[in-house]
Amino acid sequence: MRSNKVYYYYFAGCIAVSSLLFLIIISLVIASIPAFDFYGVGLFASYFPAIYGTIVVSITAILIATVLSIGSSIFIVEYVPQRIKGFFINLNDLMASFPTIVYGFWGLYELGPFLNSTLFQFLYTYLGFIPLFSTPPTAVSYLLASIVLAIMITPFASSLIREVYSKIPESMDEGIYALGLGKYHVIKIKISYIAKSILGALTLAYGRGLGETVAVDLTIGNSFIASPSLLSTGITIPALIANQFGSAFTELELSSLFSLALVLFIIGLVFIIAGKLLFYKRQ
Amino acid sequence: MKDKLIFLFTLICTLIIFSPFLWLVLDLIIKGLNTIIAYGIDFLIAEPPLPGDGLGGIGTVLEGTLFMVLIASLISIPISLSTAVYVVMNERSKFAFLFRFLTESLLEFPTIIIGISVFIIFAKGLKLGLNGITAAIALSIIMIPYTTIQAIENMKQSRDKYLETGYALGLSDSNVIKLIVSEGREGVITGILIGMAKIFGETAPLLFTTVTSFNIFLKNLFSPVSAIPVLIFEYAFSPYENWHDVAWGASLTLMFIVIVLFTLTRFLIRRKI
Repeated sequence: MRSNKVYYYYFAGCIAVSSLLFLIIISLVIASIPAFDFYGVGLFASYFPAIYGTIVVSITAILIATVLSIGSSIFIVEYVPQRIKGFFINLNDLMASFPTIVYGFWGLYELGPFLNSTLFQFLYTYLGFIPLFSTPPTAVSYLLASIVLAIMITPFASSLIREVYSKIPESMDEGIYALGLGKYHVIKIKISYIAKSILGALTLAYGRGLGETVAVDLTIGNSFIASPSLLSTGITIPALIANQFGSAFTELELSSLFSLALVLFIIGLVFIIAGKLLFYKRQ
Repeated sequence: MKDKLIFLFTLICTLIIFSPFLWLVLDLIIKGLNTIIAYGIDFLIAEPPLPGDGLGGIGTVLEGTLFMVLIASLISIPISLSTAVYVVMNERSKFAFLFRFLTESLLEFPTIIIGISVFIIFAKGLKLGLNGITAAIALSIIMIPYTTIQAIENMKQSRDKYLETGYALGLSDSNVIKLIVSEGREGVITGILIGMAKIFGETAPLLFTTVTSFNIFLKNLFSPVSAIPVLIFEYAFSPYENWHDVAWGASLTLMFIVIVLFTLTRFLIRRKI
């Protein structure tokens, strides 16, 4: 029935898209070889502060984002009147697709000073004995970068969660009410119903957060240290690559940066695939 | 009692997540307009100022951004649309599933990785150098998944409506495809606009594929132009107050472009339904 000739033209487009993925991997691997040759695997030990910073910032951001995205999704679906629900959904999607550089710029010059004099000062003064808050507040820090990152990935996670949450059939609500339980139980049961998809959505959001470069670069301070205190400055892998790239002229320097990019790529890919599998597996 | 608590909890979450954004928009409007009004509407076509020396414009980078987005669209639209047509028309084929999966994976890639790979392959490997064209290639790779996924979603609806009708009328394969695409054209345009909105604000790939010089207007196809987000990034990092002011104005321009594109897409989608 279908003449196959027509589809060959369109097939070419698909081949282009699929090959992109492999081209990216291959180019990174080939470009990193000189660094691995010269330094061996000890290369990553010397980059430890960057790896540490990436993990700390992403985990803190995703912890904040988990609470906020689930909370706001529930609120938008369950409590917002039908008429203005569309407005909130559109606002949420706008926030998700907003240029991230603006978030970083604003975070550095507006949110940073505000949080510094209020929240961070409070944390340092009263909870300073915990290693987590043991350095005095500075204009840039892990915590500021995590908060800005959380602001950026929450709308994205929110829209994914909202998508699944709103598709739960109303018969579930009705059944729970019929048992004599209240809204609290309705929400609790519905959330546990889609728990796997929520985990998938958060994993996808985490994958996005790993690669966020400029917003984190502006708000983390770019000091090559690994500090246990969230209020201290630090560095993450994307920020390190972006900063060092301008002054990396020799083959070896460039190759070291590319090897770091390869690590980032592999971590990101793992989280993207894991997130997809979790999100799309219907219970 | 618990019902009230959960209402309060979710309300607070919503307030916490929406208020920073509204604060950000207000800040952009106030500070950005401050700069633009102080300099005049020429802000959009003038050159950026010297460090510490009064206000200037963003003309060079605005032109650079528009150039890059245009070239990126020219590269990515044919690829996206042909992928979308293939996936939509052959939904049950295993290849279609594979392509869909790969496209979605490409969607969430860290954009810095894409910038680095384009640098390795095109700027160094093919010796294209650091200029608007290389940046446009990186941006097109970022744009392709957005356009493809959106086009697939929307063409699925028009396919469900018109596929059998088309064949029943005896149309040839290519004419059926033309029918489906033209009936789903709002969706396709939405996809293109969404992709463009995404790449207008992308910074990380540009850091690896362009130079950060903001005083060059386009002379030829391979001029080393830069883009608005890179200007904001560099000026934000700098210690000069006047550069910060220009960065606010540039951020406002960027926000304006993104909101216009976003509103257009919502308007188009609503018309379909």
